[in-house]
Amino acid sequence: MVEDVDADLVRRCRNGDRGAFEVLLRRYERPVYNAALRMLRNPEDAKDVSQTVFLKAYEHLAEYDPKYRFYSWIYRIAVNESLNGLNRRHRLDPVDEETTDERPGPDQLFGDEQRSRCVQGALMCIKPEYRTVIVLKHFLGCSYHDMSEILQLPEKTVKSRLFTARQLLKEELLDKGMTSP
Amino acid sequence: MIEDRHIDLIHAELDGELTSEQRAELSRVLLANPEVRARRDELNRLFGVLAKVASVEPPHDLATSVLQAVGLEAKATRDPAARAGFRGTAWYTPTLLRYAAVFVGGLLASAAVLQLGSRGGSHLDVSQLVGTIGGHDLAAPEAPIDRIELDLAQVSGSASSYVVESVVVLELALSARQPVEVVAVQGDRSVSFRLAARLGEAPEQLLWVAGDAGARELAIELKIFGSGTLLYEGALETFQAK
Repeated sequence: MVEDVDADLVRRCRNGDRGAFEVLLRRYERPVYNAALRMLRNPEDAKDVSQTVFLKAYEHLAEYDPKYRFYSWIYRIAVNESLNGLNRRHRLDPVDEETTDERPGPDQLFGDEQRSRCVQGALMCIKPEYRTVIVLKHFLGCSYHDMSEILQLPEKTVKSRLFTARQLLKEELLDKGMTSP
Repeated sequence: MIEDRHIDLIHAELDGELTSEQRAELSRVLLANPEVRARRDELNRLFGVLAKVASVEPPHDLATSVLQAVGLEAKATRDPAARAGFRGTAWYTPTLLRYAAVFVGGLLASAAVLQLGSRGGSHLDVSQLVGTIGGHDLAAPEAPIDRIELDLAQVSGSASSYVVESVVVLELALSARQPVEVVAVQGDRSVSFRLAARLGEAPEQLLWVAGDAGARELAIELKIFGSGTLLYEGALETFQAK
């Protein structure tokens, strides 16, 4: 049903209903921004990337192939732009900015905020290709098939990468003092 | 000992991607192998940690800046109705905002029509549409053309269609008990917005100026989604047969 709504909105956009683009933008601003934020950590960078994602989507809507789901298409743009953002940042500031100590103090318990910071810190410690699959699966709720479509990889590769990513993330979380994972 | 296949099954189970045959196989393995059970518990805890990471609200000016960049004005985000969660397409569409506004005050107890005199104007502040109308002439309340009463577990309230000075207006008064997405479509125009859960509060009242006289005979299709699932689908007539 959600796919039907998207397909309808895309059709309207292509037929000149410019307002339909705003509806698409409102539907996807949250997942796209959150994906970028989890990939990049920095909210300003995530905002810049999200803007670029929607501008590209608007510019290239005519090239979108309706046989694919719209969210796969826009998430693919989001992943690619986030990876580009990471590369740009790395070129500008090659010093590893991702070494912040996310561990709680000796008597500090994990609250929601602390947990989120810790997970984000652990995400930043794993390679972007692994971070991407975690983000797609756990923060965007994509299926193996969706991820295969978004990353343009065979499902088998997606699964293998996801399983490895989880193992690496778990180790990073343990390293940061989260004992439960 | 844990085989790779068992690990694949555990991941697939937690990812909701198991076939019934695989589920049966995993059940057998879990019963027989405590190592597999331990690994599954471990993975389950990781899922739990990730699930607790809250989704972040995007910056309020993100959509506005995108719309401005592509040449679409984003007035809705500045407006009271938008701040209440309205995700509109037609609030600032000049052809639609020709005459009328409806004042919503207490479940549309009094529907008032005012002449804005903005025909052809390219911008209209929606605050003129919703809120105080002091100083404008009021017309008599009008009965809706059609009305839907909703009483779902996730959302309740009403949706009503009006024609005010040849303009089709959808009025919603909804209380959400969990976040829902409302999509309304009339002809080639559509609107979508999200309602946050607001327990025990008065219904949120929203207006959508759906279409003009040319679209009057088209029903407004209304769909409500919750967690990606269609919760309600219905249509509101916008034309009263004589």
